[in-house]
Amino acid sequence: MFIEAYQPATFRERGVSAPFTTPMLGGARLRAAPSRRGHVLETIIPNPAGRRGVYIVPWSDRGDLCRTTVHDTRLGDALAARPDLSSLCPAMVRLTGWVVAADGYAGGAAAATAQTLLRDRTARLVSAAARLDSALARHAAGAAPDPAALEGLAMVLADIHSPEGAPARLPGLIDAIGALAATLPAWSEAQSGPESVAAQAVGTAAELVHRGAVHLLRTAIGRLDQPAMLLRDWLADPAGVEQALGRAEWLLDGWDRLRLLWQVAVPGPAAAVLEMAALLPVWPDEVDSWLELPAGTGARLARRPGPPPRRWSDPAIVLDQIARNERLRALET
Amino acid sequence: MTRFSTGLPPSTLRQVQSVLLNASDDQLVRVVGLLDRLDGRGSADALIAPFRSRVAQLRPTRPLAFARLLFTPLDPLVMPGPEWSRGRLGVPRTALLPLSGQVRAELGGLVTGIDAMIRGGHTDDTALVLRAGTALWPAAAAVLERAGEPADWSEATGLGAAEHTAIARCAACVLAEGVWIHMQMRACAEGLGPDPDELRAWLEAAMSRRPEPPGALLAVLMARLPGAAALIGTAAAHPAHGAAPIEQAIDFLLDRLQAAPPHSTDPTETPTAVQRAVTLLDALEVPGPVQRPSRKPRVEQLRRMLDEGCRARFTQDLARQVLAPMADPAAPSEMASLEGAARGLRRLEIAGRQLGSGEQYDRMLRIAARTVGENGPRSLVERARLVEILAGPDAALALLQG
Repeated sequence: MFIEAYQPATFRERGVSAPFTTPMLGGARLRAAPSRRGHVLETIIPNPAGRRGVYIVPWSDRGDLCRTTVHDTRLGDALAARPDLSSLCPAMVRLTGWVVAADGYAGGAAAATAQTLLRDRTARLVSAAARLDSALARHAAGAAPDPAALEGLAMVLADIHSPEGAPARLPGLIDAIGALAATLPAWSEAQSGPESVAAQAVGTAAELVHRGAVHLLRTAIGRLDQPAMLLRDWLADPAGVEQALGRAEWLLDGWDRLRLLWQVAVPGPAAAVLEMAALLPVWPDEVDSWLELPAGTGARLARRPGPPPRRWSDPAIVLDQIARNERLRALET
Repeated sequence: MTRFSTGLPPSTLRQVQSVLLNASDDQLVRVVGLLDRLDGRGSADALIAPFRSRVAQLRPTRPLAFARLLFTPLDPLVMPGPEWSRGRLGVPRTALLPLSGQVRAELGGLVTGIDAMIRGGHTDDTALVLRAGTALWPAAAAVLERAGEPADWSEATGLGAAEHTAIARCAACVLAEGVWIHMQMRACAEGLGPDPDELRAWLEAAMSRRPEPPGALLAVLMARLPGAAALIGTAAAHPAHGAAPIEQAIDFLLDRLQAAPPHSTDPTETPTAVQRAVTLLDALEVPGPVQRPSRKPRVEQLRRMLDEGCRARFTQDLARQVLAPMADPAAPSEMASLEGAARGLRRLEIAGRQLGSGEQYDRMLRIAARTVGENGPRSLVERARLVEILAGPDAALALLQG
C-alpha cells in the first residue's frame, strides 16, 4: 500500500526504527498490525524513488520492493515470530537486533559490539530488577505483580536510570543528540547549497528532540523519586505507567542512527547530512500532547527538505552502503 | 634546503634496490617514510623508482610536503620522464623538483605561510589540501605562466628551454583551476558531483579564460570527474579553441590508458579508474564531433585490453586475496580482511562487467561462492557472510538453510 501524505497519529502507528543494513530500508520502520491470526509485522518503507510517501507492506511481502540482507532477514523474521509482537517497542527491536548481530550477521565488529551491549544490558537489568524488588518489599508488601509486567518495567528503568554501575543508555543518547544540535548550525553556516539547508533542518529537529527528551526523562525520573506512588500507579495500570516512563525512548527512536551517520560521515559530511535530513523521523500528532506543544506542531515539524536522489539501482553504491551500515551497527551504544 | 643524494655508484644502487625488491610491504613503507622525512629527496627518489607501482598499491599516508601539495591537481598528468615527448600533454616526473623549487623561490613570503599550514599534515586530509591549495595553486599558476627555465632544469630533466615552457604552461593551465577541480573531486567522493549544467557552464568559462589551448585542463577533468567525459561535445564546440584541445586530451588519456591500464594499479582505485575508462570509451563511441573512424580500432582494442585485464585481475585477486587465505588453516586471516577483499572483487566486477563480460563474471562469482560455501574452514555464519558479499543474500540464506 502506498500512502503519499503519511502523518501518523501516535508513535506506535509511526512504528519503530530498526537497525537495518539494507540500503533501501534506511529510515524504514516496523509496527505490529492486527490480523486474523493475531498480529503481523508491517514494514513502513520511505518511497524508494526519493519522493514523498511511504509504502506499507507486511514484512513477509518486503521482497516485492527490495532484497534484504541476511542480517535484516534474520532480524525481521525473529521479530515477526515473537508471541508478544503486539507490544512491539524500541527496546524489543533493539534487543532482537543485538541478538542477531551478536551471531555475526552484520560482521565481526558489530558482533563484538552487540555481545558487549547484551552483557551490559543484562547487568543493568539485573540491577533494576533488584531495585524494583526492594521497592516493592518496602512500599507494596504483599503485592503479586505479573512477572512479565515486572520485567517490562525493569527494562524501562534500566534504560532511563542507573544509580550505580554502567550509566543508563538514554541519558548518554540525549547528550549525544544535544552535541549534534550544537554542532550542526555552525557547520551549516560554513556550507552553501543543499547540504546547508539540510544541516539546518537536522539541527533544528535535533534541538527540539533534545529539549523534548530532556523534559520527558526528567518527568520519568521525577516519578522514580516517589516510589510508593509510582508502584501504586503501576500495580493499577502496568502498561500505562510503562508507556509513560518510556516516552523519551519513543521520542528518541531513530536518532541513534542519525547521530552515528554524522559521527561516521561516510563518504563525507555533506552526503551524511543530506541522508540524515532524508531520514528525519516523522513527528506523530501525539507529540503535541507529550511535549505540551500547540496542536498541529507535529505535522508542521514533519515538513523537511526534499530527500536526496536514491540510487539503489547502482550495485556499487548498495555494496558500499551495506558496509557503511554494518559499521554503524558496530558503533551502537 | 639540504639535498639528499644516494652518492652510490650505479652498481651499489642496484644492490640496494635488489634488497628492497625482497623487502616486506611494511619494510618498504618504512623506507618510503624515511625518504618522505628528508628536506630534499633529490636523487634518493632513484632508490624507490622501480617500486613506485608497489608503493602506490600500499597507499602509505604521505606527509603533505610543499611539492606534493603543489602537484596534487596535476596528478593525472604526471608520467615517467622517458615517456614524455614534446608536443604532447603531460608533466614528466623529473620536472617536478625543478618546477617546485622555482615556484618556492618566486613566491617568497607566501611559502612560509604555506609551509606552516601543512606542517604535520598528510595527503589524506583533503580539507587541509584544499585550504593550503587555495593559497598556493593560483599563485603558482601565475609564476609558471611567465617563468623561464630554472638553473637546474637541464641537469634534472635533460630537457631544454622550449620544453620547460611547454611543461610549465601545461602545469599552470591546471593549477589556475586547481581549487575548483579539488572542490569538485571532494564533492564527487561524497557522491555529490557537479550538476551537468553547472559543469558545462564552468567549462566554457574556464576554457575562455585560457589564452592557449587548454588540453591539459580537459585531460585532468576527464581523468578526475566521473561525468566529465560527457562534456566532450561542449569542449569541442568552444568558439575560441575549437576541437583541438579536447582531441589532444583524448589522445593523452588513451595513451595513459594503454601505458598504465587501470586494472594494473592500486586495488582500491581500480574500480573507479575502470569506471572512468569505460565512461571515456563509451563517450568516444557515441557519434559526435570527436568521433573519428581512425580512432575506432584503438578504442575497440583498448576496450578488449581492459576487459581481459579486469577479468584476469579479478581471477588473480579472488585466488590470492580470498580463496587462498581462507583455505590456509596455518595462517588464518582476519575475517574483516577477507570481507574487504570480497567487496573489492565485487567493485571490480561491477565496473568490469560494463566492458561486456557480464556472464563470465556471473560464472566466476557463482564458482567463488560455491567454493567458499563448501570449502571454507570458518564458521557457517562467516562463510555465509562471504557468500552474501560475493553472490548475494539469497545464496547466503540457501547456505545457512543447508
